[in-house]
Amino acid sequence: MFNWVPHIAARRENRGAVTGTTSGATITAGTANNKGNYSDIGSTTGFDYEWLLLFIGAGSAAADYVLDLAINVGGNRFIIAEDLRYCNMRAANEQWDGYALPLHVPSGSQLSVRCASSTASATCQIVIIGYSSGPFGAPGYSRCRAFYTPSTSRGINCDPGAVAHTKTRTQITASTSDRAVALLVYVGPNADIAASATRWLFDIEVGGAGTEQVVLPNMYLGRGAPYDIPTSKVFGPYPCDIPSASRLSCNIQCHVTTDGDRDVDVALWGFVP
Amino acid sequence: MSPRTGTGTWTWPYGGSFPKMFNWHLNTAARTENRGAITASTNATTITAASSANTKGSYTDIGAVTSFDYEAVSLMFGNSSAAADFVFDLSINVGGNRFIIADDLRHCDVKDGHWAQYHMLPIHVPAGSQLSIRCASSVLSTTLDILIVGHSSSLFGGPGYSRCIALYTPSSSRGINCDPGATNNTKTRTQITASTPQRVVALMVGSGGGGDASRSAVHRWLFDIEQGGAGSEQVIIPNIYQGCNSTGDLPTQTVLGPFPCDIAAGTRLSCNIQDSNNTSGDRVLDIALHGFVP
Repeated sequence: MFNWVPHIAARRENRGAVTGTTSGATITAGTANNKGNYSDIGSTTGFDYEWLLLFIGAGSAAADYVLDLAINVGGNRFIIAEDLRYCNMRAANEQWDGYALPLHVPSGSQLSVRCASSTASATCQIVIIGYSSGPFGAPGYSRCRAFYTPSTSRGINCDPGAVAHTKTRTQITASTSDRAVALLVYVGPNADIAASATRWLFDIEVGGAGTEQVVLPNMYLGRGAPYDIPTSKVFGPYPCDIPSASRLSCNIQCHVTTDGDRDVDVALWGFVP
Repeated sequence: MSPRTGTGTWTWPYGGSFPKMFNWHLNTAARTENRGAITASTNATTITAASSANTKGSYTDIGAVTSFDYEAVSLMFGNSSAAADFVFDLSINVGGNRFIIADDLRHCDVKDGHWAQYHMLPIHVPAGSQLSIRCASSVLSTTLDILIVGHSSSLFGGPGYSRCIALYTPSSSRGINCDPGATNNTKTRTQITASTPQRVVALMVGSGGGGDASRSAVHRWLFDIEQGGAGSEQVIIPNIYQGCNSTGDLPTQTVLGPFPCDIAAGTRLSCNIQDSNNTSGDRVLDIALHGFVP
């Protein structure tokens, strides 16, 4: 079995930080909504990671992005976290997101990232901090799978409907690809960057149509007019156990009924044990 | 004998005995419940700061008592009534005795309209506890709306720690101002605390705008969190990356971690920070640190 490493043995290292310019490693998207080439993030890993922090920021365009994090071991590249979301729609260089990812990365791996953006050839920057143990000294999972299919480099449009304070359900995926034991959520503004103050409560659910079970109850998010989009968009990861082939949905309500302003886009990921 | 302590023994079915340890729950057993959501108004529970600036107000209960043991809590908050800085205490009330289990959690809303979250704080909350919160604000009598999601197991099924303690002393309801100095792309160190009160095994970082809600250009920050005496600091979190531009004016995701660590009681902590832009005032972030007590 994996040797659980106590926190006292935790090591960490940074990959991608460019201290000379106070920036991260730059990634360039392909044509609109198509992934560009992989860019290496620093040198190879100095030890096994069981947990990593991934920072995404400095988006060159007011745009939506999705990114793949991959490792290259012995010439073979594997995607370990796919279609991570980065919404920088409000303005260039506005948004910085941080993902805590309980993933195993072997020592000697070359980390690399590629991205797609709603704006052709847009860039963003990446910094990764790798840890030799996860919270509680735990081992990392094998992969982080996207449980949604990106559309225009963003998540699934979830419309709370025309009645305030009343939930409306949207399917995020009809069938999950793998069993997942931790769930990650990202909520963006569905490309709406001019809205008045808005509040949402949303459930993440598992189960077939009509038999949904709430796994995350009444998560709270909002925005104010100065920002126009939600600021802190990454939720989790949260413990769960969702079998392969599960249907996932988002049941959301909003306190305003203005069409467009009330919408969000939701992306889900699962960690595969 | 609490089932969570490791000092008792019990008889192993196959003979002999071994230390009585916490029963790690598999994620398969994870339950969640919400406390504080108000679905009729799509809102959370309102907390009001005192009528004096930077002074904690009264406690407000967050929903009904907990129906099972939590090993982690997630807090989501926003909708403040004024552009302000906040610090707030999360407490539990069991049998009439109130205990603070997370003190001086930070929310920076000096631009107004900011929502933020603390995800999966690995803290144990007994079943039957009344959760309550009080807050202080840089603007007197300001309100902040907060809800809580309780989790029956933490990530990996881990048990929650006993408390989350502030490793800084709030000033004007925000963290410690960290000024990268007048030379861009060069780090400057600021002490966050001279001496941690207890050993901590996980570290959480909060950031805010340093009281500045109007920046003139893009800022990118890289900062280390360090432990050790002056001149002998050791990096424990290397080059955290944050930034913002002159539209939002503030860092967007203001809560980072918890990060694994093992920091002894009596330890000095500091932040060593650099900025891509050396505009005075604009270059300052405020940093709050929290530690989890095993």
